Order: sequence, then structure tokens, then C-alpha cells
Amino acid sequence: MNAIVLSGIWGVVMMFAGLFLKSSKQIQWTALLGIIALLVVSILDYQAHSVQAQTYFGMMTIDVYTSWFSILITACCAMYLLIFHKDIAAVGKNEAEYFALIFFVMCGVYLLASYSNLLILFLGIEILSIPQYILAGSDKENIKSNEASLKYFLMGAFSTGLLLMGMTLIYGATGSFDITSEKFVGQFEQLSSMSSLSFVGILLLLISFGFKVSAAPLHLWTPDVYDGSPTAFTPFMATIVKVSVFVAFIRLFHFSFGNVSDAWQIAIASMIVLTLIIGNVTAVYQQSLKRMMAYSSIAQAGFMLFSIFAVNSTLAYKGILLYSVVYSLASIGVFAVIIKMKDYTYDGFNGLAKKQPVLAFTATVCLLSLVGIPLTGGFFAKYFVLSAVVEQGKYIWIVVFAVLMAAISAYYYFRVIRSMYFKTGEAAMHTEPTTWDKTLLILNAMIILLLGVLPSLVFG
Amino acid sequence: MNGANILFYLLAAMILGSGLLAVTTRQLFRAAIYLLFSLIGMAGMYFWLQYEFIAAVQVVVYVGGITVLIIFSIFLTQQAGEKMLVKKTGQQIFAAIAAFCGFALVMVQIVQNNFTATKNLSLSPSVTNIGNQMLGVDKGGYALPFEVVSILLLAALIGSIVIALRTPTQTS
Amino acid sequence: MLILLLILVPFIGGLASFLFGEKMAYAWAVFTSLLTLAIAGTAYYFYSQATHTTDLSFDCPWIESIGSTFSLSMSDGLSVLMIGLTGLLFPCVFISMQNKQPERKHVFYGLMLLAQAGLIGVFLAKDALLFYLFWEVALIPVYFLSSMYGGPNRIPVTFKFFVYTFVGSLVMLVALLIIYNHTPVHSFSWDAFVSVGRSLPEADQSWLFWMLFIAFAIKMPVFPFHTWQPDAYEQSATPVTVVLSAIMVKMGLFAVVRWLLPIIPLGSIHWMNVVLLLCIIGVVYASCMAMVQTNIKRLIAYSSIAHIGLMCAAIFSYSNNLLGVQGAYIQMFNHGINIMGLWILVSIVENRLGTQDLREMGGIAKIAPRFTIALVLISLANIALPLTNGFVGEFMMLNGLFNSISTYRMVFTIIAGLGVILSAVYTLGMIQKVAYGELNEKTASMKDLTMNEWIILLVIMGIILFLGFYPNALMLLVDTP
Repeated sequence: MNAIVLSGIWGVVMMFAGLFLKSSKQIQWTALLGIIALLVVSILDYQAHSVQAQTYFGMMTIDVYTSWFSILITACCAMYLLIFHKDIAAVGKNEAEYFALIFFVMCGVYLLASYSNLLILFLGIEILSIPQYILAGSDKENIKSNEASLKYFLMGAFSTGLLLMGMTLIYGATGSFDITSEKFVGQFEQLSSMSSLSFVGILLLLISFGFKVSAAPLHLWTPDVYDGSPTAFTPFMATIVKVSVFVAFIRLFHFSFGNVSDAWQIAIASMIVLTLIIGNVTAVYQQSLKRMMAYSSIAQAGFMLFSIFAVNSTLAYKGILLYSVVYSLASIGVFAVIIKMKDYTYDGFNGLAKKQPVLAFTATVCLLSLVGIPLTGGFFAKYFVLSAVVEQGKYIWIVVFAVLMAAISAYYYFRVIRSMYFKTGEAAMHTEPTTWDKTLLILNAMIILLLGVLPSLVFG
Repeated sequence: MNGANILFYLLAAMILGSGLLAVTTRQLFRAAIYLLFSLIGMAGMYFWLQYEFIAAVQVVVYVGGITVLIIFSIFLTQQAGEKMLVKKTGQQIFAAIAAFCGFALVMVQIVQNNFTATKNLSLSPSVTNIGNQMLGVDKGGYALPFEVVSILLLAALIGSIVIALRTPTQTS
Repeated sequence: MLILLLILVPFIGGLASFLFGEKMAYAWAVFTSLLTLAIAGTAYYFYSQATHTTDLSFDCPWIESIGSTFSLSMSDGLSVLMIGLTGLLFPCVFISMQNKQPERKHVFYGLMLLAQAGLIGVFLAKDALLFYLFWEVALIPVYFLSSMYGGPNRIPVTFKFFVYTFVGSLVMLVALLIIYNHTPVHSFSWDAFVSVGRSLPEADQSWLFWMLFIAFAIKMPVFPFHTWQPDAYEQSATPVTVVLSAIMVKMGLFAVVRWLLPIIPLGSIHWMNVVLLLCIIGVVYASCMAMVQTNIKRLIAYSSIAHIGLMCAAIFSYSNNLLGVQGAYIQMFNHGINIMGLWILVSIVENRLGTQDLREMGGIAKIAPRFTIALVLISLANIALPLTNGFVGEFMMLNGLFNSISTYRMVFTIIAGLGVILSAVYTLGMIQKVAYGELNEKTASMKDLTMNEWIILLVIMGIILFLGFYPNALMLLVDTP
């Protein structure tokens, strides 16, 4: 709870920092201070809630799981800010506001992790989304950035409409927004007694969540938005924001709609299949690394959907935690290298290993993790979500399909490795990495490798 | 059929009719006006349900605020009299099919649902009640979402400033 | 603890090599690999004397929440053989490379040592998840090695190899997961897998069999999953090819013995004839292909497919006297030794003449007698002439195939025997083209073996002859599989 308050307050602090602090350095330091404070506060929150779950005003329930997730996601965000703070400040004139918006997004993230009322879910998603529309368009001179912002906004507004419609129908069926209330729980106890309004409601919620996590066929905005947005913000949108929507997704669909999973599981299954095919196959044909990463984030979402699919399995909860952390860190690591480059195409990376061995090495670790090679965290992330489905004993074919798609993903991730290590070229840099950058990237890669050996570290 | 029913059907016809016209007309300005009527019909519906406060909010916010905003933006950005382009037939057909499928899905489910009529209003929608509940801190009170909305609005405000603020390069 | 050192020494040695830089790299690599060999030798001694058995296994909790333990064990003759082969191979390869060092040595040797750690891990793992982990980990350094060092076409070819094996291993992972889910107390341990795998209904076993077998078959490779192999062997740098062909392909055979036959017994018997058929087709097909090759590396690559095919057939023979399986075990070791010798010779020819084309060679016997002695002896071992190490294994395998429970055992045995004859044809042809005939411009300047090469080849020839005269040394190890 304190984390929510602090993130809101720090957003305001950042706003004033823009007024009173003249140098860009000071603003960046304020933001870093804020995220560290947020990390400390979320750890304190965790200690406070580790014994017993607490409900606030019948609107939010904070338990061990959510407060632990808050710590993890704050840590990922801290890593993101530490690596990217200079690039964020370089995007445009309103640097303080960018940081303020990021803190507001974090507020939305905490709300999404802990809501127990559909109203808070809605507000959380909105707080998460609105700053992103702005961040996507923050490079005002760039027509692609404008397009990204507008496209994101229109699509986001559309999905918000569906979300509200779905909530309304569910409210109509249950008479309550509170997902812990008797009326609400009673409605979703078994499929046969479920009202048909709820059925449509669940479907609409599914669609709007699908929009937010960019699951096919609702992914069409993703490549343009991730590609068009300033490179400093793309990793934030593709990782921290996306995984927290997943946690909100799993919270509602497992805890509330878990008993009626027959109604929606098949829809998720088809989403998974489509997402994996479209994400992976289209990523193969990309020439720009940034756009490839956009499609890869779609493909990775397909894997994360498995955790939604495997209803009420402990492995799925653990899996989504691990997947969130590993996927976020790996994507941040790759983007941290991309942003240093002048040319985002594969050829622009030719010969990077000779010129910048540290960058090439850390990018390789991150890419291997995204493929899911053992000894990197990515392997166990995929392992947990897939084994959650295998554990259920049905739909094995979908798991086989997914691993074949993982093999396709090896193609485009390894293409980057090929460019960096096996081809010769200039690898023109946009900015030279400092020692501090390299240290952070190595730390990032080390965490990924550590999680590849001891994944239990993220289970709390 | 009593008077209340007649009124309901009239309002429903107004909402649907003007809504349909709003999406079929090829002049943007007219579409906005049709939307206005649709929203007024909505407000009428709330009155018909005896939710006076919500009806008033509907009139003030949507009819008075949003629609006027829309009309302003149309005047500022578009030639108001100009007709919009006709979409390709393929797109039209596809859109129609998609819309129909969605409509059919929702309708089939709604028709299947057993609506139970209540005898009396379950809560009295007076302004006092609404106010109390919105700022109530006990269970069922909406103080927390209320505060959260303020953060949301603040974020939106900052965002619009960031987007709208001139940067020095643009002035030159 | 000793067994843990087997993995840790090359692993840490490999990582250290990256940090030490180029100057130290070669000496460090030789030292580390010799140290590993010494540990492997000690482990062999402990095993053969049946003392210090606690040193030969290692257990510690790893990911307890899913029932996976970090469990290594050197409990049977097969793993002892494979560890011995792995331990022996790397120092031999390193020492033979003394004259021609690769670019960026520290990277090369570092990756080689990491690959060794992964390979040893595969042969020791007693936990399915750990096994899978090492299985993939061994692949990654080899992928980098083959992509960075080798022929002009190496990058796409290596990638093809990588994708093939990666697809196979992912499917294998799903199969392992499915079996894991059947274990009563969820556990990845080998014992749990064996006890639960046996009890699965035959219908389940029959598709699980393929999910596992395809992964192993790609690695071996068995026809028709072999298409990556000749290209990869040809394009990789020869030291890497040694690792690929002498040890990595044995991973496939080893996995069949350790992780397929005991766990999916009904499925294996059910599909025995199909597998045997594929293997035998592979033997004949690869032998015929080997006869028409003009590139020496491709020739040896195809000969390797043929040999592996026969070993796989012997493992699947289910002969009642166990001769087939034991022969395959022995042959896995011997084939590793022989093919290493061949590759070292090939790399010598390649480096001195600058060509892999057999048509451009000839007459080397006149000016390089040591080289020719080694070539002839190792080639003869490769075609399993009596009194060389290849003979016993090959004989046992054919015997096992003949006593197979398969209905078509006669046909299979006869065709496999044909494969053996064909192997003599192409191997002798190779000797003739390389060593005899007229000298030409290129071969005229060929230098004979240097001292380090000669020592390594003498060691290899010594092993070949020793095991040829005294096969019991190996037989004792595999007597109780």
C-alpha cells in the first residue's frame, strides 16, 4: 500500500523537480532516488504482509504473492531506470515529466498486482496506459513516434471500452464489483449455474486483456507502437507494463474465473496458437532489430499466456513470476545494446563482438535467455509455464507446438548473435558505452545466468 | 402498453436511430450532432429510470462537455462541410460481418439470461448517498478509487502538457 | 566430490581461459585438460577397484520445489568409458594443435573446455532435468566454435546443425516433462523415471518413444536425420569436428542406453524393427555415399554415420546374450579413439597441403613414412581388422544383431555385414588416394609428422593395438551393464 502512495507522490515530486532543478543530471538522480526508495518501501510492504493478507477498503487485497511481485517488478524497473536514465533524458525537453509518467505507471502496476475490485482493475489499467500513450509520442519531431502514440491511444481506448462493457455485464450478473464478495464468488462457482451475461463479460475481459498483452489476433498495434516509440521507452512498455498486466490477468482469471475455466480455456488456447505463430514467424522476416524485438515480445507473450491457460496450478504462479523477471531483464539487456547503436538493422550489428566485447556478450546472454537455453533464466521461465500445462495432462499438443515455435525463435535471436560474432563489419555506435553502463549490463547478465542455475530465488 | 413503456420505446428509438445515423452519415459535423441526440436520449433513459443525478451528469458531461469538445475539434481540424471518403466495399462487408457476429453473440447470450424484476429500488440514488459512498472509507466506500482517479487525472494532465507544450525547435 | 571436480575443472578452466588472454591460453588449456584426464583416470581407478565409491557420486538438492536434485554418478561401465574417452580426447586434440594455433586462442580453448564440461555432465547426470541442461550446454560452445572457426560456408551450416538438435532436444524436454508428471512424488531422478516409465501403458510409450528417440537420433545421427552432419563436419575446423564426431554423436547413443531403453522399454521393443531398419539403411546408404566422396572430411563424415548406424542397431538388437549392447559400448569407445586419430591425420594433411580434395593428394607415403604408418593403422582399426581395437566390438555387435529377437534379424545382419565390407572398400580407397600414387606439386612439399603429432598418434596407435590384443580391459567394464 505504501508503495502505491509513494509512487503517486514521487510522480508529483518529479513534476516539481522539473521546475526547480535546472540540470538534467539532478533530475535523473531524483528519479533514481525515487525508484530506490520505492524498492525499499515495497520490501517493507512485503515484510508487513508476509504473515497475513490485508484488505484495504474492500478494494485491494495485498498478500505475500502480490507484495513479492511488487518487489520483483520494482527491481526490474530500477534496473531499467539505472540503465536507461540518460537515454530517457535525451528523448526530449520534458525529461522530468517522462520520469513522472514512469512513476505513475508504477502506481498502476501496484494497483494491478493487488486489486480485489473490478473498479481498481479498471483504474489500474488506465493509469498504466495513459502515460504510455504520451511516452510513445514523446519524440514529437518524429512522425513515426506520433503515429505510434495515436495508434496506441485509439487501440487502447477501444480495448478500454470492451473492458468496461465486460465489467458492466459481469456486474449485471453478479451485482458486485468486489471479486471477493459472496455474490461474485457464487456466480463463478460452476459453469452450469453461471449466467450467460457473465459468459459474454468474461469474453470481453479476455479480449481487452489480450489487447493489453498484445496477444494475437489483437496484437496489430504492437509492432508499430514498439517500433515507433523512442527506443528508451520501448523496453519499459514491452516488459514491466506487459508483465504486470499478465499478473492482473492471472489474478482475475485464476482466482475468480478458475472454476469456470471450460468457458474460456479454449479461447486462450487459440490465442496462444495464433500469438506464437504470428509473433515468431513474422519476427523471422524483420530486418530491424527493434521491430524484431517488438514481434519477439508478442511471441513471448504467447508463452506467458500458458500461465493463464494452466488454471490454478502453483507452477503457473511461480512460472509467471520467473518469466516476468527473466523476460524483463533480458529484453532490457537487449534494448540497452540496441539503443547504443547507430543502425538498428542486423547489418548494423556486424562485428560488434570485436569492437565492444562486453556489449556483445551481455546481449548474447540476454538473447540466449529469450530463446530459452539452459543455464539462463529463460529456460526455467519457459520450463515452468510449459510444465504447468503438462501437469494438467490435457492439451499436450499445444506444448509440443510451443516448443517448435521456440525453435523458430532461435532463428531470429541467433541471427543477432551471428551478426555480432561471426560477421565482420563496422558496428557504428551512436553513443559509446561508459564503464558504468558496462558494469550494469554485466550485472544484468549475471542475474540472468544466476536465475538459470537457481530459479527458486525469485519464488520468495 | 402503458405510458412508461411508450416513453421507453421512444427513447430507445431515439438512441438507436440517431446512433445509426451518426455512423452512417458522411459528414463529420452531422455525425457529431447525431451523437448529441443519442446522448440526450441516454440522459432521458436515466430520467426514466429515476436516476436523476446520473441523468444530470450525463447531460452536463457528455451532452454539454464532450460533444462540444468534439465539435470544436472538428471545426479546428477539418473542413466541416466536407464529406468523408467512402470505405472500400470489401472493408464495408467485413466490418458488417464482424459487427453482426459481435451483436449476435451478445444478443444470444442476453436473450438466454433470466432477468428477474425487482419490486423496489435497491438503493436510493440521492446525491447525498452518492457523495457519502464516494468518500466513505468503510467497506463499500469508494474513497480509495476516488483518490486513485485523482492520480489518473494528474497523469493525464501531465501527459497532455507534455504533448501540447511547444518545444523551442518548433517555434523557430 | 571427485566427480564434481570432473565437471568443475574444465568449466572453471574454460571461464578462466577467457580472462587469461591469448598468451597463456594454450598452456592453460593443455594443463586443464591433462588435469581433467588425471581426475578421470583416478575415477576409473576407483571404479575398477570398487573403492571410494562415495567419491563417484554426488548429490545435493537443487530445485527442491520441483523435485530436481543435482545428482551425478559414475555408476556403470558405460559412463566410465565415455568419461575416459572425453578425458583422453581433449588433451590429445590440444597437443596435436601445437603447430597450428587458431586465431584468438583464448576464446577457442575456452569454448572447447566449456564443451568438455558440458559433455562430461551429460555422461554423469542422474537427474533428467540436469541431463537436459548439460545436453544443451554442451551444444552452445560447439555452436560458437563451429561458427567462428572453419570453412567459408560454416555459418549457415552450423546453424542448420544447431536448429536440428535444438528442435530435437525441445521435443525431448516435453517428453521428459510428461514422464515427470507421471512420477508419484514428482521427481526427476533417473530411478524414479525408470520405475514410472516401465509402468506406462504401451500406447503412451509408443509415442513417448519417438519424442525421445528423434532427439537422440538427430544427435547420432541416424538416417534420415543425418542431413546436417556431413556439411557440419566438412565446414567446422577439424579440432571441433573431432569433438563433434568422437563425443557429441556418442551423446545420442549414450542417451538411448541411459534415458530411453530402461525408461520406455515397451515402446522401444514396439518400434525395434523400424529403428533397426533405419539404422541398417543408414549403414548402407552412408557407406555408398562415402565411396563416391572426393572430399576427405565428407568421406570420414559418412563413414561415421555408417559406424554409428551399426552401433545403434546393436543397441536396439535386444539379443538375449547381451552381446550386441556390450559390443556397442566397446565400440562407442573405440570408434571415438579411431575417429579422433583419423581427424588428427586429416587436419595434418589439410594444414600442410591446404586442401581437403582427395584428387589433389597422392604419393605421401614416399616422403612421409610416419604419417603413412599412422594413417594405415588407424584406417585398418576403423574397418575393424582383427587385432585392432575395432574388431571385437564390431564382431560382438554383428553377433548381437544375429541373435536379435527381431523377426528380420537375418536380413538385417546380412546387410549390416555388407556395410562392413563396404567400409573396407572406401577406407582402403582413401588410403590409396592419400598415401600412394604419384606425387604432385602440392604433396611434394609435404612434411612428415612433427614430434608432438607423432607422440599423440603413437598414443592412439598404442591404445588401438593394446585393446586389439587385450580387449578384456574393456570387456571387464561392460560385463555387467
